[in-house]
This record gives sequence, C-alpha cells and structure tokens, in this order.
Amino acid sequence: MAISYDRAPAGSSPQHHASRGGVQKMGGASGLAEVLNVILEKGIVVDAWVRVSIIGIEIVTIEARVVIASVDTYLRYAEAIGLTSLAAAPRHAEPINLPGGQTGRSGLPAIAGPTEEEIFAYLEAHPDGVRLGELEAYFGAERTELQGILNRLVQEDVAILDPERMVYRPAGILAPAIP
Amino acid sequence: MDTTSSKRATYIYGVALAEPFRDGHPPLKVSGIGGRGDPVRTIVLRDLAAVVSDVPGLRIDLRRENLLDHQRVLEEVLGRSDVLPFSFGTVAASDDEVRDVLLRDGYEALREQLAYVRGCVELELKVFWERERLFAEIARENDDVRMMRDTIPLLPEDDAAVERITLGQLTEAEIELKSSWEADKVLDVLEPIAVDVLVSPNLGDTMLLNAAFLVAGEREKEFDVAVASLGDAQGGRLVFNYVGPLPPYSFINLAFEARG
Repeated sequence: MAISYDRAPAGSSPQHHASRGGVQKMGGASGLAEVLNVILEKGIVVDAWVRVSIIGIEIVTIEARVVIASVDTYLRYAEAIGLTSLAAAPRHAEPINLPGGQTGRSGLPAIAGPTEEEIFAYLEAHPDGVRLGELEAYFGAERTELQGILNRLVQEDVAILDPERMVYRPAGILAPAIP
Repeated sequence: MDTTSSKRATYIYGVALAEPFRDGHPPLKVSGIGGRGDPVRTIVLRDLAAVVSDVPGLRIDLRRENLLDHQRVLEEVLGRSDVLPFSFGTVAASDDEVRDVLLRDGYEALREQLAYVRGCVELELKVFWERERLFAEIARENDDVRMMRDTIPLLPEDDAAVERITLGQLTEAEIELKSSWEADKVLDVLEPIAVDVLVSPNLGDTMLLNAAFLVAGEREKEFDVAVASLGDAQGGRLVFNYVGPLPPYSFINLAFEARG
C-alpha cells in the first residue's frame, strides 16, 4: 500500500510513517475514502467539461455530510451518556452497611448529600413509607440526587417502592429498626 | 443528446510544469483512466503541460477504479513537478480544446496558481473522538450531565422523555466545546509548519477537525513528526486520519468557463 514519492525527503523510506504511535499516514490512493470529497469537489473545475455519470453504487455514501441537530441526535447523545454509567461505576462498589451501625448524618460535611446508608436509616425509622418530598425536606437535598440513591436502594432490594402510594419502604421487615 | 460519446476524447488530470515531461525524461509509468491502458501524456504550451490521456467518450463513470486511476496519475506527476489537480471527471472534446481553452486562455491564471503552490504538497488531517471515551469524559466532567444520567432512569416515562432531550442538548454543547478546544490545540501545533490551512466543516459528530494543510515539500517530514507526536500524546483518546502527500486540491481557486 505504501507509495514512494521521488520528492520524499532523503532518508525517509515509504514505510517511515507506518504506524508510528496511533497515527498512520496514508497515500491518496490507499486513503481514497478519506479524500473522496477532495477529489470530487476540489481542484480546478472547467464547468462544461465535467462529465461524470454516476452509474455505480460502489460509492454509496461519500460521508454523512450534515448532522442535523434534531431530537434524534439528542436522544442518541442521551443514550450514549446513559451507557457511561455502566462503565464508570459498578453499582455494588460499596455494599450497604445494614443498620445496626450508626449512620447518623451529624458527622458529615454540610455540603455532601445524604449517603445511601443515611437514607436507608431514615426509611428504617419510617417503616410505613416515606415520600420523596419528605426526604427532600428532611435532608435538604436535591430531588434528583435523592432519586438516584433511592433507585439504587430499590435495585439492591433493600428498599421497596410502593407504586400505589408512591412511598419508599425498607425491604427487610426483619431488619432491626433504628434504635 | 450526447452524439459525441463514441468519439475519442481527452481526459485531464492536471496542469504541471512542462520541463520534467519533455523529451529525454522517462514517460509516466502509470496508465490512464478507464482500464484500457491508455498512456498518460502531456499537451504542452510554453512552459505548461496539461497531463491527459485518451478516453473513448465524453462520459466518465464515477467508480472506485476510475477515482483511483485519477489519483494515481496525479501522485506520479506530483513526484516530478508542481501540479494543479483537476476535479475528477474533466473531459475535453479534443487536445486542441485543451491547448486553446485551457492552456492558452488560462495561461496567466494557471501560472499564478502554480506559483502559489510551488514546492508544496497537500496533507489532509481528520481528527476524531474515540466515541466511548468522549461520552465518558463528558459524564465525568459535567456534574449536570452526570446527575441527569443517573436520575432519568428513575423518572416516569413522560418526564424522562423530556429530560433525555435536555440531556442530549447539554451533551451536544459539551461536545462542541471540547471539540473546538482540542481542534485549536492541534492547529496551534501544525499551523506554524504549514504555508496555508483550510479548515472544513466537520463530517459527523465524532469528528473534531477536518483540515487540509499546504506544506512545503521540505517540511513534510517535520509535519509528519508533529502529527505523530500529537497522536502519541492522545493515547487513543483521539483518532488521527492522516493522508498525503496529495496534489494541492484544496488550495486552488480557479474555475474556468469553457464553451460547452
């Protein structure tokens, strides 16, 4: 695939650019796909002399030229972002300390939001069920943040969402209540 | 309508300096477009040479083989002389037409363009994000994006649908910001080595730079090294597609109007 050029600088073989690091230099013929638009659209143009007939479908797509900002695009981005959580943080990185241990929020810096343990402890203390708004008021935390933690608790089967009353309850009825 | 299509016609690859193709220099090795093995020859007027070959008719099919032929001829010519490449598919009815309309009427303009690209080649660089890393970086760097990512799965579907669009918009803005930042860093390194730069719109959402560089032949190696070290520094985070040397397609500003 390498093409040698008479005017290549002395001491450089046609292979000098082959796979150095992540970058590979391609000649125009081997890199044809990369320079298609250049060959077709740039260079000297003599209007009446350009007589290309497009018959084959070998060149189906030159490239997706325009990415229209559309709902579809946004949804694709949102999906791509959604997938990052799977790679970034394994859900069970920190197993929950089931109550018994003291998980009061007193020692924490004010800025930090509630931990999973704290929320679970609150649920334990209110076995009849807790609304999201109540947690929000109690912890003074962002609704979205609380929602994220609650979702994890539900997924880990330590909490239950009661869909009828829209309240969260601790899952293990046998779990000891907060002293 | 096209009654001349069965006649022999003249396909034009480009205009070069005549000297390296005069008698005493070896003929060009590559054969002409169309797969018939037509020799590539020159039509000379004063010090300019149009590089051409015969084709059976006025129409050229847009096919991979033909594009490759066009490109291969220009690459061999580029090894001998500065050359002004023609857009693919330029066919004149006869050699006389090339000589009269192109070389004679266009002489001054052609000389001027040749002077501008003298001793230079075109190097094409497209830089892309490695897709997964791009989104992972955005999620890591932008608190709002990360929070929405984590909460959307918990929302009722109606709310989630709206929030997904907002998240997509946020993400798009981040992509644009990060892309122009990275593109500027690449250009900062490469622009000083080049004679001229043409930055074209990005194609597709992971492309962050689509640039053609006009580079003096003696600095091409330096440019190669600079591109390679930019790539090395990224460790796969960005992908570099680097093509060249090409004849200076992107740096020619010349359009003729021939009598049809």
